[in-house]
Amino acid sequence: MKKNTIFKHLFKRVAFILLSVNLIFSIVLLPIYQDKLVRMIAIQGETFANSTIAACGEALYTQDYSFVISYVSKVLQQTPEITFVSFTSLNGQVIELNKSGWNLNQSHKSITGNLLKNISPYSIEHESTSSNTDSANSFIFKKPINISGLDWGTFSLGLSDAEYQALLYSYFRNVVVFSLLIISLTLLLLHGSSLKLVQQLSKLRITAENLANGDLSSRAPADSIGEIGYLASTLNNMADNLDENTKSLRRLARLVEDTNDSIIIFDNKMRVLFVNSSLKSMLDQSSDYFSGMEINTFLSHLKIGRNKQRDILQEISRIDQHDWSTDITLSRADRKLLHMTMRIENFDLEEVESGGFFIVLTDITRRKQLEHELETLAYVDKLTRLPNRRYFIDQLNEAVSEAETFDSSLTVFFLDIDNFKIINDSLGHEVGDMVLTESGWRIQEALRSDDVVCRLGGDEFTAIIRGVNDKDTISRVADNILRNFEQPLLIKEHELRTSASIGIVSYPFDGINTKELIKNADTAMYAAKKSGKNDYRFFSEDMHQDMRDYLEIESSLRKAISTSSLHLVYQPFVNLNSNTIDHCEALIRWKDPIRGMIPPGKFIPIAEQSGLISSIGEWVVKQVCEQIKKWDFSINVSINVSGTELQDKMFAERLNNVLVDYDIEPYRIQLEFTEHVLVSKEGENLPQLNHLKRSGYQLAVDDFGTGFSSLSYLSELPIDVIKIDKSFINRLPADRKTIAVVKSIISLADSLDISTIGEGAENLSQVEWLDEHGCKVIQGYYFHKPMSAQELERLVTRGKISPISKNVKAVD
Amino acid sequence: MENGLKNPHLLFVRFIILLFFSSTLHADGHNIVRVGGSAESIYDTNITDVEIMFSLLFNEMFKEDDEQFKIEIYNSDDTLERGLKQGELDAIFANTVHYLEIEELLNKSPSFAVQHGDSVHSKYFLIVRENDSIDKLADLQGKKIFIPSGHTVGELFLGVQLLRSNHGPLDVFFSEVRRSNKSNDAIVSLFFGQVDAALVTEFSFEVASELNPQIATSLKILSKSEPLVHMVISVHNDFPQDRVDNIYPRLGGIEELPRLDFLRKTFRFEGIHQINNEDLSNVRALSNEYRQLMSRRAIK
Repeated sequence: MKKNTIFKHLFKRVAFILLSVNLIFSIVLLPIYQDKLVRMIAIQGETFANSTIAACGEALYTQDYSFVISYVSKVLQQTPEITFVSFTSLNGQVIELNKSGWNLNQSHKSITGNLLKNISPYSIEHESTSSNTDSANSFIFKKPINISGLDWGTFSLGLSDAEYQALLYSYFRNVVVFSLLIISLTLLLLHGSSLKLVQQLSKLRITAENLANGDLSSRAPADSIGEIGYLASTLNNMADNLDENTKSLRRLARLVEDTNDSIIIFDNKMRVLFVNSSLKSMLDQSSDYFSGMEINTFLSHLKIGRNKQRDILQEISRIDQHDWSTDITLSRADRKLLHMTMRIENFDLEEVESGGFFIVLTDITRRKQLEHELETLAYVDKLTRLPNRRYFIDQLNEAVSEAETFDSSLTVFFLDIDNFKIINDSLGHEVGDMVLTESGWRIQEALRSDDVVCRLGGDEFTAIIRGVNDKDTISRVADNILRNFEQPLLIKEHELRTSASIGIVSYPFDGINTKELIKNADTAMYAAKKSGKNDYRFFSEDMHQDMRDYLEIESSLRKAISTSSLHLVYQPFVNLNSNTIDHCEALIRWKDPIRGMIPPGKFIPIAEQSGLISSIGEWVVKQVCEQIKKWDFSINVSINVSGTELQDKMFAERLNNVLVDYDIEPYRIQLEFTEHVLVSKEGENLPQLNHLKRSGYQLAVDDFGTGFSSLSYLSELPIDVIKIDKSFINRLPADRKTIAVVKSIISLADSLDISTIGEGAENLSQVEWLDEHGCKVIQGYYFHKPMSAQELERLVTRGKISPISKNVKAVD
Repeated sequence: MENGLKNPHLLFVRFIILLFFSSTLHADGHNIVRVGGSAESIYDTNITDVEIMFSLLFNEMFKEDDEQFKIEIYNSDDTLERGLKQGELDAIFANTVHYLEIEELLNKSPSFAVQHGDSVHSKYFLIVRENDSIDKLADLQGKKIFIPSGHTVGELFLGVQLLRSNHGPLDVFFSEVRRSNKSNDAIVSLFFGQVDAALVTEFSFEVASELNPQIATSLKILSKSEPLVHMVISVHNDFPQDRVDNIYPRLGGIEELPRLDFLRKTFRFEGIHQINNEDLSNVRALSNEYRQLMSRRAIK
């Protein structure tokens, strides 16, 4: 149905107003108009009356009524507007004539002459239907008849009001026509002036319809007139907002539709309004299947238990605008369990008039699995699949509590793999990890099935053995473990031999709580390490003394750096070809004022563990440089560099600065690194080594052969010198395997243009063998022990390099 | 016009004037029919009205023929008779008394009379006021009477009545005889007491009673005549018979022409009918008796 436009309403109102105004004016003017009409009719009546009285005056006077009747009858026939004429004499005789005839009556009221004088010249009244005459709706005009001063009577005249009515009709018709004309003209003008407005409103309407039909790109012309322009602008702004909001809604709808969460919207009667793709996919049903489904049916369809359903329904009835969530487990058709979080939330009534609520089902199956895995991981070491530290602590707490309660006993093994750092650094983490895994299993194989073996971290393992505190039994277990470790490991074509150091504590003898037991077990384990590794130790209070000694040494060492308790000795390298000494190694010595001489093997590890090694190293370099400057002869000096120093990126710079300070060329300094330092961190030290090499330093591998690395890495390192470890030299020249190894080392080094130094040569046979097989530089007691700088100076200046003894056992 | 409508005799006269005309050939080729009448035979209308209205009526009736009608009213019966004798007229309409006097000048064929009411014959009433205690003709002796003009046949009737009763001639018996060319004036004058008697046709009395019902109750009929033909229409005896044969049949069938219905209704006549001697016998007898009674009175 086409609705009325605003202009139609306006036109109607204008037409109504104009019509009302016209009608009001017409009604107001009507009495005036009527009065004028009556006056006009009265004039007409008077004219007729005067002419009739003038014509019939004599006849009336002579009572020649035939003339009067004849005359008036003729006039009546010729004057249709006159309906009747009557003459009333003073004696009451009334002659009344009309178009159909005449009659004579006698009036009961006689008219006196005085009465006639008092009445007005004429009177006129409007009378309605008279049954006896034709004077229906006519004006009655009355006038006294005076004939030459004689009052004869009255003259009455009936004037048809047809003309009057016609004029009134004409008046109203004119009013109507005029009104219609005015209205038509006004509406025409309004229509003409509203055409543009209609067009603009029409465009607005079309724009609004387009927007309503979803065409959000539709816009109204902005150049409209006045308020329409504002309206268009507002509509466009609304369209922009609507467009933006719709895009947002579409994005949200897309999000809702495509999210992995299942979303179900219910109306306020708890019937399904909407389900998204996730739910349809999960339950393999269409939207129609769920449409209108009641909440009970829906929950049953999810195969939620009745009790759970009841809980959910109760919560739905309780929730207001707050959300509520619960976890549910669904059983799929393939019997797989789906863990879901069901979140139920009411729509805000202000936002959604229809009310209702929605349910979001989030699949947390994976999360549950992860939680389970995390829970497992919390107690399991990922690498070895053994229980971890946390589990160990829990179990130990539990075991301690149990032992305390039941007055029983328990034993804790604290185990550390010997030299694991070397394995890890030289063969890489992957090999190290495999060593750890295999070590864990070897420990477990040595224990009972109900004993708990844990990996604390790194290369540390623990074992809890309940109900046992007999030392013999425990010793057998420890021996079994160490025996298992004696078996070589074949990992990635490497045959590795590992061992372990074990610390052993028993409850309640070595500790009455977990912390104490662990601490003491760790102490015992270190004691085992110190004893030479591949061993086990039961905890004793003496071990604490050793620990205290360790701490005291560390403290003293710190002081020694600044109090000149440290000093250097120099062991010469003898060049067999030239039989000269042009190189020596600076060796640090510490003479504590209280403890006396402390061997480097004891304080260097402490220095490394405490971080003092860098300060000591720097002190050594400065001492060496200072000494070189003091010496009057030219000699190169080797300095031992720890792994900690090498990893310091500023090491080379500091070293250079010191040499610059002392104006010493870098080639005068040979830096010695142990094998595992060179190859550790999977080549991370290589840039630093190259830097040092480029700076001009001689680089040497100290104690070569004790590591686990292959010889092939030598070609990749900027090595100048290989110092063959004294453990090989000591077995020369009798041990064939050693001979083969050393030959290979010398041959390889030679082929790589690397010099070799025989370290720790103590007798002539060793020197001769080395000399014979190409190792021309010898360091060892056979020639010289480490000596003071002054002694070295004297030695060099004297030029005597002959052996000091034939068979001397070197001591560190 | 009003009088013409109300008085059938006037209508008749008007119609006759238009109906009969002279047979003079008109200048434009039509045959002219000259019709003459006497002013003494006309009442309740004027001569001009009669000439105009009946000319229209009759020419309308014969407009498709070669006949064209021309009406002329003479001042008196004598001048009319003279004109007829001198060949000025092709046809005349005259009161029956005069017709009988000039009968030998007219065509022998049956004449025509106009029918008002139920018959072509009309009665004359001598009327007086009801309350005047006049019960016989003798009571009117020395009284005033009103006799409308053109009532020649009525005066013949009243004259015969007076002579039969030995009251002498009309103008002697009554003290005053008022005349007017309107029949209604006679009745009104009688009603208002200006005269003591009036001689009117039955038709006039009925019309006056229709105009004022008081007439019928306040006036009464003292004497009334036999049905009499008031006026006769006839053509000159030398008018061509073929034209007579053409006009007469159609004249008698005027009521059959629908297009002239409005004229018949306007002039309140039923039609025009041919009459014979029998229809004129009453008048002829009265006329003869009047002559005899007058002769007898003269002898006395």
